[in-house]
Amino acid sequence: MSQVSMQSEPLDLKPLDEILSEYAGRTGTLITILQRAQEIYGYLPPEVLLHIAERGDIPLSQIYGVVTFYSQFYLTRRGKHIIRQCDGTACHVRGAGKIVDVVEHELNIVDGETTPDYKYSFEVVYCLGSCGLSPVAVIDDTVYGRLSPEKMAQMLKEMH
Amino acid sequence: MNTVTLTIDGKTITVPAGTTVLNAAKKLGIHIPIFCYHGELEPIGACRMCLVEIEKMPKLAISCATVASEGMVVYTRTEKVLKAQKGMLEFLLINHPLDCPVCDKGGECELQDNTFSFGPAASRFDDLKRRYVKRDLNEVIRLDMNRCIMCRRCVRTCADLHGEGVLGVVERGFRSEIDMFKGGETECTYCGDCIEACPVGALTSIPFRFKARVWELKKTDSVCAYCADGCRMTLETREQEILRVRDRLTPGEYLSTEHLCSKGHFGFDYVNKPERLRTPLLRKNGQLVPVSWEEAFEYAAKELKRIKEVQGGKSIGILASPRLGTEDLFLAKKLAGDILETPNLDHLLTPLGTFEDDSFQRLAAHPAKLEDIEVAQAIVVIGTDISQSNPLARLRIIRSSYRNIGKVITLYPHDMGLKGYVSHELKPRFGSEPSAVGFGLTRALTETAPVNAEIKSRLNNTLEQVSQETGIDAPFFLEAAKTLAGAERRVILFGREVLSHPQRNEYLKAIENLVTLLNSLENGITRVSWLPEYNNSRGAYDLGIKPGEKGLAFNGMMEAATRGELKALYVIGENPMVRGYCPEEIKASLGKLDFLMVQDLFLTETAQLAHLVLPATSFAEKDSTYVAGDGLAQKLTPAFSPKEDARADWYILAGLAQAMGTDWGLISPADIMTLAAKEIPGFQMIDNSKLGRDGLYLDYPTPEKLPTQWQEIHKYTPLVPLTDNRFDVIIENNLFHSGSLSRYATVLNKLSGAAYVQISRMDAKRLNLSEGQKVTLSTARGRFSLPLKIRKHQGAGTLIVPSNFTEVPIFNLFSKEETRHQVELIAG
Repeated sequence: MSQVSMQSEPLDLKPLDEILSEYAGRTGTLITILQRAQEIYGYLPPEVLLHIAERGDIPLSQIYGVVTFYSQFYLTRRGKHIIRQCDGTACHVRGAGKIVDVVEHELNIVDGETTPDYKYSFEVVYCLGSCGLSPVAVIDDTVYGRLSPEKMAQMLKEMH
Repeated sequence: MNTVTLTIDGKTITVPAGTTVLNAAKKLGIHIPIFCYHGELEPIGACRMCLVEIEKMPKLAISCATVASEGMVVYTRTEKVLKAQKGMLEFLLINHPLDCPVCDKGGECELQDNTFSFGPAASRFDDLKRRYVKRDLNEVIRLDMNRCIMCRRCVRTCADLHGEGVLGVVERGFRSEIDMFKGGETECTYCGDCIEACPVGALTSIPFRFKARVWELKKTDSVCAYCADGCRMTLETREQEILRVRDRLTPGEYLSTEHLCSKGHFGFDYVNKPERLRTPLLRKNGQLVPVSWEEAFEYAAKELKRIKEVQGGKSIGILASPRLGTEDLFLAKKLAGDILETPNLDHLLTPLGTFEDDSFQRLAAHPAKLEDIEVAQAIVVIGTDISQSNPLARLRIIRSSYRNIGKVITLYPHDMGLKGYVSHELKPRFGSEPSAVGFGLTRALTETAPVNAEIKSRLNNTLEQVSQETGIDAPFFLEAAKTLAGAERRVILFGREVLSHPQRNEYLKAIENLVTLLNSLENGITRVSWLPEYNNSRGAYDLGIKPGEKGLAFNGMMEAATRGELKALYVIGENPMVRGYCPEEIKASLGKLDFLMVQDLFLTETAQLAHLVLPATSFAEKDSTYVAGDGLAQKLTPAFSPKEDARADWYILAGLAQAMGTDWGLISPADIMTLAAKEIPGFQMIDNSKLGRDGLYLDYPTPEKLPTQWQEIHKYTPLVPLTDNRFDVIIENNLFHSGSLSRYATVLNKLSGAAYVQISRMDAKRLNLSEGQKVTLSTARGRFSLPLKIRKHQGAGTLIVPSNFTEVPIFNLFSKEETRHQVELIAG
């Protein structure tokens, strides 16, 4: 079961209200609403899900089902930087596993986790569609190809 | 009707167009195995168990979702079909644990049965099975995901049948799980129907867990003894203990079309309680001591005779409970009339007893059947939180709305828990409901429909006035009126808060006017129904358990007792110390009686004051008849014999009569019904032998149009809303409790164990109050504190307090004379 984390400080739900008003009365818009909500808050805290459920008269369990169904949605707060390292077939044979080790060692987190200071989130993914550049990682929407463990370590240092 | 003819396994059958192959086969008596199919819900074709071979179709088809067509030739038992079904079962068993010997579902498990009939004897998969930790979803539902076969019957039952949507599927693919989202406002109502829907042992009942193997249980058809919805159920018992209650099944079916709420499923265990009274108790030297029935009868007869001879029959009163069986109530009436010769007979229709109101008599005269709700195009619910008071009537409303048959109009200051199923939600300010019905909806009808010109001329208010009084904008009234006017069948339901409203008379007149106006329309039939509170409230009403000529209602009896005019009171199954206003005053009145006799299951607050206490039997030990709110008389069958010396109420009443010298010659409840059929109009048809499994409707004359009359509502003004920290208090039965009996049910106490006061979110914000905070309710008569519950959709300026908690003397705060219950709310 996915973990739901409670946000400590109150969220500003105004921007969410604007989105909900935009889609009010239209069916089949849940995924879009969730995507846009996640753009605002970085993830989907329970308050946001509750608010969407309440305003849209959608059972919370259904929203929860959709959120857990798609890997694009997150129920826990994520880091400022998101590092996605590919470990698909091509990247794997060219040593992506070692790069994963470097990230896990440097940041002291494993696949799917976020550092306690909410600076980094790390995910291992399977194929980013750029096998020609393998091994590949995507850091904050920028693609980095032909990586090596050393290069990754260097990049992490520079990001600090 | 269009029909199609098809052939299944060589047998030809003609079915209405739109019938599925599965249902056509069922009609032929051909069994097709299923898991995800649920007759009351849309088929989803998730389990692939119901595969059949259809000629000219390239692949096997799922019979649950394939509609029969003309000339279709179907085979349900070909090699191809059997191989596919065997394969499906083998797949399901990859992960399903073979823990049947310790599984509660063993013996009634659809996977077990289907595997036995259709499955492979051995599996070819020897990998590890997936493993989840078993966990409790809440106090009554335990989830063992290892056993789940993802048929989603529970999820669909919760969302589409009950309109709750608490259960959902999370994650995806082979990681899919059933789960509940916690922390939201959508909370489980603990109806337990997901447990009933589960074909395997994935969802099991915590109270029943590991109590018994299902095949050792004796099954007895019964009827729920809580609210007036008359839900049919099956008691599963071992010796003298109820272990489980289930929706009543049609023999041979796995799934029932009958449903129960939390009270029905989990509220039975008071029957098993050791605190039950087992012998008569007589007060000797100030102490209640066990005595024999002979001594009890002798003492009661002696006292009653003495009082009757000295002070006359009028100095004796009987208070009977609407929870009693029809037979019991009839004999109570007979005892009052024939033997005690007293007109003082009553039941607690309101905390003050019954009341006289012509509009009410007419509106309650011909109840709409609950089935009528499902075929009505417009359903109006007035003055009750139907999700709390009549959960199964609510289910029928949802069913109608789910099938796009009916549009729902609600008129109530608070939320009714009908969620997205309401088309027109009219929320008048508390105290202005009569205006919303009698002037708002009616006026809107005159503007949208061709109503009787004479009636129209009498309504000279404007919608603007009503809008101001009620806080509902005119277009809402007009839209609702349009729906009402356009409907062919209309059902109007009104509930307990109409009867307890400060302006009850005007409220009832307003409803009668609405009905009269609808009846004046040329099109459509209007049915109106009072939603009574208790299992046999309707029976008590129809039998006339009310004061006779110059007789006293309950409140009058208490006053007479205080004055010393009433000398004896016989309380049957009722607990006025908890259910009436000002318990202290009632206690003082009861204390003045020469003889107080109480007949009950437990030593209740009232019984503790009695001179003589008689132990009665519960619904599970009784051969009796209940009349549901819609007039359906249904029979109860005893599941086991009474505990020790407890006796059925009718038996005690007949014994008492005999002790007083009148032998009614009754040997069974059937004799009583024969007698009642002769004496009470409407009961002619109700012969025990004819009642059968499904019951019979009482014989109400049901004219096309009700004989309602236009009522002038004179000098009416809505209540002035309260301001600042003053609130109107609404005292209600919450979903988990009903009267004070349910307080003896362990599981219900777990679900709703402590009293609370409910406030609207708006008011909470205004007064800066938070959930769970202690607040004090204060009046001139007293004060007490309660934790706060905040609800989003509650009417402003109101507090809702459940009436079921004896430790909360809510009835102490108000005098009997006050109709409007105002309190001051203080934080802390």
